[in-house]
Amino acid sequence: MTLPDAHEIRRAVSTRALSAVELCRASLERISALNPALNAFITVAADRALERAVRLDASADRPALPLLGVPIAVKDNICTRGIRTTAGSRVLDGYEPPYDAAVIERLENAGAIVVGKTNCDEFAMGSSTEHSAFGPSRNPWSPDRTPGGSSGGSAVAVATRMTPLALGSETGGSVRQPAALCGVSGLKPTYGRISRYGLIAFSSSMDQVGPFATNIADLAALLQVLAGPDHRDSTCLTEAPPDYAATLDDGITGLRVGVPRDFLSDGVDPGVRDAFDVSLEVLRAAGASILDIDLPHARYATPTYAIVAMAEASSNLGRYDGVRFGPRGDADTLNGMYLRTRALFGREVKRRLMLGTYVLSGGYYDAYYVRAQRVRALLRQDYDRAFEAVDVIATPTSPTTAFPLGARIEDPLQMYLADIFTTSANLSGLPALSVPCGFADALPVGLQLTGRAWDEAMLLRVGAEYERRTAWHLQLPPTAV
Amino acid sequence: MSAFTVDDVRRLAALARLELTPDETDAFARQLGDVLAFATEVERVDLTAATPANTVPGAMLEPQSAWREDTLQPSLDQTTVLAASADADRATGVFTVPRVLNG
Repeated sequence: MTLPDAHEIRRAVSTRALSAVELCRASLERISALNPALNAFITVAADRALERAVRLDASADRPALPLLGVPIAVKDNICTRGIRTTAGSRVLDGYEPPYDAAVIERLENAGAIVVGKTNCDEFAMGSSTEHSAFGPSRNPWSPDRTPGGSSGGSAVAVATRMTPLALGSETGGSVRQPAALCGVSGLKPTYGRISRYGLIAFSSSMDQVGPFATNIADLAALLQVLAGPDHRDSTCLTEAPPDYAATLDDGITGLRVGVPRDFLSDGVDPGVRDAFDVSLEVLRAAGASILDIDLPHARYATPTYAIVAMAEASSNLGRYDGVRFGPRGDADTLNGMYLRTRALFGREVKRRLMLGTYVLSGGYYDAYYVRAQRVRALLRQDYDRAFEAVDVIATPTSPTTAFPLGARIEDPLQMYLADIFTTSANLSGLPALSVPCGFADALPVGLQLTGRAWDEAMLLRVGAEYERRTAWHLQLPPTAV
Repeated sequence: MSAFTVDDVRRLAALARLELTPDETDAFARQLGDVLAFATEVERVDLTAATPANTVPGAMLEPQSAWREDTLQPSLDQTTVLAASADADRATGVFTVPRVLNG
């Protein structure tokens, strides 16, 4: 059976129409049936999940929990105590974290049940889930194609209703792009909205945990649980989030939607452009006005992103030296041990660590990293100026639909261009949402909405109104019917 | 730098403490220059309107504040942390690594 959405599950479990155990079993059975072909999960934590479901069914305060009995899939770069956490890398194969990430604590306190850990590009570096040491995930709409990435496994799990919800992480579009390519909703929250404690670091000034769901109401409920202060992440906002459900039905009459026409002028597949243009008409029919805006520095976002992300990665991944965690390479000398251990990194990670080391080295630091940080400030100024005239900014999430497996794996530049519309939000810290907005050649297309800092509520409100007027989010991939 | 030689790649790999296969060394000599040339597009941006200091998202995103009282918080205990290591001496509470100094 396909699993109901999170709201229905919560209702069924809290009224005892169904037990948490029954729903957990349904999720695990669906994973067993579909995962061999799609490779969405690296680890399935069946026993642990069922134990938790039993405890939830017996617990007295269950009805009040916002995600009571809801099975959820978690990207494998988010630490789960006692469940293997690999980040898709052989460098962490067999690693069982001694602590839970802040988002895992929050999920479990809310009554959700983690059923497993999902496949991703190694250390979240990629846009196709092909750079995983555990093999690529496959797109449920067309299994010879990538689901996008890096959070591809989480997008596949939700698209096929193995779980109604999933967690991914974003550094340059790693939630929104796979959400778009798999036909589900995904959100990159404002930098600082969700604690990064226990999220394995890639590029610390951009990394954020992000939720996936099959509809906006579920996405809002999940964000509500994840968001909030945490003293263990000094960049986490100290204020509590607003009530996201409260404004979901407010409609968008009078709302101003900005479209950066120049930025969209080339490189967008015709099918994607058509679906995007039609989605703007839907927003207009809902009472919004569509206005042209200019983001002059957006065209530099992807190269700027490449510099910042590679530099920060080369620093962050210095910790994988075989000393404190993960496997250790065998050698007689300390340096030999480092080299043998780090030989376990995959090719894309090595490529980025090499370039990150290069741009941070003496004589190049100012030309690359410092310069990129200043371009980043200009990009943020572009957005601040645009948001004086509009309330949200609309673009396609990805310039293309899902591409064939293997098509870009040895062509890093082509792979990086998959993120051309998503990296701007990460560089500027702003929140951005992807919602399903149609199909091109039977492959899903995503509409991206970017908002003001801390205004996820506005994005969810627009997404909810869009969803009321369309049925794209209800389509099930052929492999999952 | 627009092109990387095999020797450049080897030097960089040593700095990054990466052991490359011959295959990777050859591939990187071809690819790194392309990616770097792409990144170099940032040189075309006029920076006169940019803030001179490095930008930190925390500072860009008011009203964020990172300050808190400097009070002790619980943390993982030593035994738990050492248990995650491939080689640690539980009795003395240290991670063990190959000999660094000879003699």
